[in-house]
Amino acid sequence: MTEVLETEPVRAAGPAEPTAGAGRRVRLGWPGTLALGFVLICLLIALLVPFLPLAEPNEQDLGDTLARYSADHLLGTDQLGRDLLARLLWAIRTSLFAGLTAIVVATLIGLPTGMLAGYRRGWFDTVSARIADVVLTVPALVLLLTVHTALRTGITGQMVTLGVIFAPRIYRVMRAETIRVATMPYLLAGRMSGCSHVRILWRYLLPGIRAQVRVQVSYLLGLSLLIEAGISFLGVGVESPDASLGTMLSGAAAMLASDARVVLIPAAVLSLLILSLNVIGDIESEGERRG
Amino acid sequence: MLTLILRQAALRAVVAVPTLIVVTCCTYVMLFSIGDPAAVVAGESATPEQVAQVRQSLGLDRSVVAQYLDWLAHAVRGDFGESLHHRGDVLGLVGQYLPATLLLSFLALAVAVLASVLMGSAVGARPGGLVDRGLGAVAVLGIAVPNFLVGYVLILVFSLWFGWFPSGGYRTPAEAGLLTTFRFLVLPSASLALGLMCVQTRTFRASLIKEYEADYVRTARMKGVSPSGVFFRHVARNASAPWVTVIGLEIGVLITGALLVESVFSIPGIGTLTLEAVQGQDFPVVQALVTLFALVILAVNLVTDLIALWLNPASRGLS
Repeated sequence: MTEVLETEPVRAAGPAEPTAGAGRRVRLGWPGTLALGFVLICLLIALLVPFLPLAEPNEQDLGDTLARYSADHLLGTDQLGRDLLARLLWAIRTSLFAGLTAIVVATLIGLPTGMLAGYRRGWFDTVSARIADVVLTVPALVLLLTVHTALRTGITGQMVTLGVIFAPRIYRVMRAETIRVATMPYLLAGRMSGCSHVRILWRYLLPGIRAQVRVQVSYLLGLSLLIEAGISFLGVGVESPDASLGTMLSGAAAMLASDARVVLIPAAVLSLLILSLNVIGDIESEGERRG
Repeated sequence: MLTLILRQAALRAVVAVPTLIVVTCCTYVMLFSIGDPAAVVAGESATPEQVAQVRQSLGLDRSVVAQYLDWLAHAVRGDFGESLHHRGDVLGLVGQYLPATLLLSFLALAVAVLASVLMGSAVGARPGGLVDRGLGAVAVLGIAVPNFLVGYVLILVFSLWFGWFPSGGYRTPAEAGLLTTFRFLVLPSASLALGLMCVQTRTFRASLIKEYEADYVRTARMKGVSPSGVFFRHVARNASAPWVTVIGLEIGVLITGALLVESVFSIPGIGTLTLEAVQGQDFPVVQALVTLFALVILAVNLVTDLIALWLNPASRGLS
């Protein structure tokens, strides 16, 4: 009997969930489709690049610098005679993985704490909000530089740090979203039917705030890519000769006047990637507004 | 109204003190645990005995808590200690590098504010129109292009091709006159302003559209208020509140951007000093810079929140 009591009302509450934003189809439109397509292609490249028949990205050929497009080098070579296509594809992998590291860390910290703070309120809310305030005051770049100089853990360590710096942003949005959703009738129904807190958080709250998670993740991933490019450009992120979208810009910046192609290709890929992520974020937020 | 803003300001200032203490304390502990200033001062060829001697003379052999409290006691009196690399005290050093960055940031902020108001008004007044779509695309693109890259493109076009502006470097107003300083800062501030300008344009556009749909706008129009009257007296004021808040949120991005732009245009500013101090493990300077950045972030957020509060009476109830 108790078992029936536990399961039945849950099913009854199920159809109410879409009002909070879960399971709703988002209309992409053509900019959204293009953006999503570009991001997916980049992700695919990032995953598959070790298996592609490419030239060695760090191999220099000083007798063949700044070569034009040819069968050997589809995009030509850079100022050190390295194959531009190979470097570009490896750079996409390095930069995307770096950005994803930051986002995964930020989400793993920000999402549960934000949900818990918005759901339970009380002392946990107060304490976590204060911690978030403190982290938001820390100058990100100084911290990233310090991590680079002192810990020598490479880009991964820096991106984990960036994830911690981003966590309060996700925390704040998730907390606000949770407070909004927590007052909705379907959540009350869930609580009255005797669901455990864990079940409410996982099955009721999370679907309700999923749209905002996607928005934040796509914006912050774009920002992470921008920051990776920035610190690698300064020479304190991914270190040469390894290719990332930032180091490719850094080494080639001086080439802008003589052979702009070497700069413009990675710059275009980086900008398009960030642009696409922002477009995806915009679409989700519009869907949210309509709902 | 004024008392409310003053009360809010006082409250926030009081809350800012523990935040600052925690930030500086964490930085201090972090710097303490990852490097050895004594080894930096003593130099690479120093024997362990010499390093120990330096450590003792600088008071670095005490516990980290004692050292931090000592630093805090001096810092509140404006004494941030001595640089490990440069001669002289940290505050003087920061003061030496600060004006260029301040000037650069203010110029960039002014450009971003002016341009975003103009562009935002143009696109927000007629959403969906040709101007809206055109500028909207520019704004989205402006956010996506890294500002150091914008800097290089500006150098290429306006410095190398047209020769209108210097491609880098900096002269202080005292040594070359304000006009020359301005010429050196035009391209850097333009590349720094672009991102902020685009974010603000989008924010202003969004809130303008929302405000135009509000009931009070319809009422004002029915009363016979002219379109410009509706815009300036009613809509613009209410719509600027979120736009002001964005400045506060973006200030961290502006600081990061300033560092990159300074590097591109080789401007001797705070960004250059930060890079130098962190790489050289000049801990007193790093500590002072973190304090400075945290203060700036807190202060700008306080000021922008108060302005937003003054602009939008509806948010007063929430505070």
